[in-house]
Amino acid sequence: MAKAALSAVGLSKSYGRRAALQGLHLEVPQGTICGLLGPNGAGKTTTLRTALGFLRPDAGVLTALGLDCWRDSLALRSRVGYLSADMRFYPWLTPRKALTLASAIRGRDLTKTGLLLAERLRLEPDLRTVGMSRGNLQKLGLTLALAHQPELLILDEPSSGLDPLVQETFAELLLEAQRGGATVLLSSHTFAEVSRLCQDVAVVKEGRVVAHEQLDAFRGRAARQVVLVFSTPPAADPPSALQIEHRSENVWRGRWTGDTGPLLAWCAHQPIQDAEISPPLLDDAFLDFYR
Amino acid sequence: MFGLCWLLAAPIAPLREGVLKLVSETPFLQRLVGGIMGLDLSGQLTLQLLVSTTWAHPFLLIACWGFATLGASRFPARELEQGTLDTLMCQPLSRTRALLAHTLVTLLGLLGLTAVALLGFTVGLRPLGNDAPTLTQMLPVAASLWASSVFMLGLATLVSAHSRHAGRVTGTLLGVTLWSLLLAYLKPFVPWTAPLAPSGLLHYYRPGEIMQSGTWPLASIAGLLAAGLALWLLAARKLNTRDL
Repeated sequence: MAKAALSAVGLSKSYGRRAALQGLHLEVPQGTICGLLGPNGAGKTTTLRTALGFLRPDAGVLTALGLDCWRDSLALRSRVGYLSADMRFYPWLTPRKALTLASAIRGRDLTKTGLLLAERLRLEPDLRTVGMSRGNLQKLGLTLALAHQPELLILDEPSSGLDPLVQETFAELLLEAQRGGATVLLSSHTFAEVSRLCQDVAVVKEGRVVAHEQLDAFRGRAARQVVLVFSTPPAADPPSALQIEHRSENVWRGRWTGDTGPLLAWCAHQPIQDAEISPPLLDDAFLDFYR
Repeated sequence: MFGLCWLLAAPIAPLREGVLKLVSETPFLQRLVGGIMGLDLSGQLTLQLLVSTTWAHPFLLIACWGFATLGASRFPARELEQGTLDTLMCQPLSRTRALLAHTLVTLLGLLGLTAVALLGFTVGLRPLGNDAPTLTQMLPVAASLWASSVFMLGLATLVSAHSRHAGRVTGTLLGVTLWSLLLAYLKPFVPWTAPLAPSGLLHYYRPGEIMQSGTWPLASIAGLLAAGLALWLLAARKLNTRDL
């Protein structure tokens, strides 16, 4: 197993009486793109903000790139890129000036790489943030998060507000960062975003990780919608994994979970007139965790 | 600030005779003005003392202390409120360094503001000719005003470090200013408020006494600066341990 770029053990955090994290465990292997998925208030943002040293955990240990996220926060932030869910910055700044400010803080010139990123994201470099749309602010946040080529990228709902074309560029940038050795941890409450970008998925519910596995494994666990139309009634019983929800004389509707090989093998020996097998219903599988 | 100070000082030349006469003939006014100045005016209200009242004008105090408070409220309270803090603090910038940078900017601004106030008074008092207080006489008052503003900066920074709302920091300014003025006004008329006087900022910023004695109030300046620094250090400590 690859070394963990981020590791949380028994992480707890409360805001007054409200527990945001309740003994959260999470390991993000180095070089992966891991998605934190969960509904609003599940604890995703708290986890990410704790990883940056903005929040001090009440209990548990959170380390990133081998550093304690609270104690070594300053050293850690020099190696991390971050985009907050509600990106805002000083109204008088333009992307160009924001890059100059970031360069001054980081002690190296980020304007060249930053402006190239801004160009790829179709962000006007001299537009003041006061007049920016949510999408443009998001682009500025991404530019600032990526410009110093961080080893770990922490992105809180990164593609919300981005138009489809820029979402493509964003996906490319993440994959490029990954190819360069970076680890990405991003949060989302929509499965479509996570399934498009991530190899690893962790589902967060009520301050705990209730499932953490590779996306392919998750796909294998998700059910598919199946419709089978027979020319004459089938001679043999269907495989037990096929959960039939509706059966008429020649049409069966149901759900199939797992590898479709056995279902296809069974169909090959039946008087099949037509068959329809949907892709895995991943959204439903994820929603099951929320319910 | 220049305009405000000029406006406060300019009427002194044409009105001095009338004002001095009115105050010297009205014991109530003597006690009121004396209370604000922290002086006994039962003798003669001099021109110097009349000028010093302008240095304790509530508008001037609110301008200087307000500048300090607004500067302190910006970080971290206002940044937390407006949501810009995450974007700044995800950079490798320590909380103390960020606080120090904001404080230094405000301190320098206060220095400039006090210098402009001094200039405004100097120009506004020119019609008094040779009777006008010299720059050397007013410089210790300006330094004392700056020190009181530094104290306010320290106090406001401490409130800011505890808060997520800039309004709370501004509320502190209003509270301290009103309390200080109230104590100064009440002291001559309500004897039991006298022991409370040290809790008001005007107890340590006394332009009348400074102009009358012509000496630098080094003890009160040092006290205000030391208290301001102590409050700032407490603020830095709180900022380094709190959630953002």
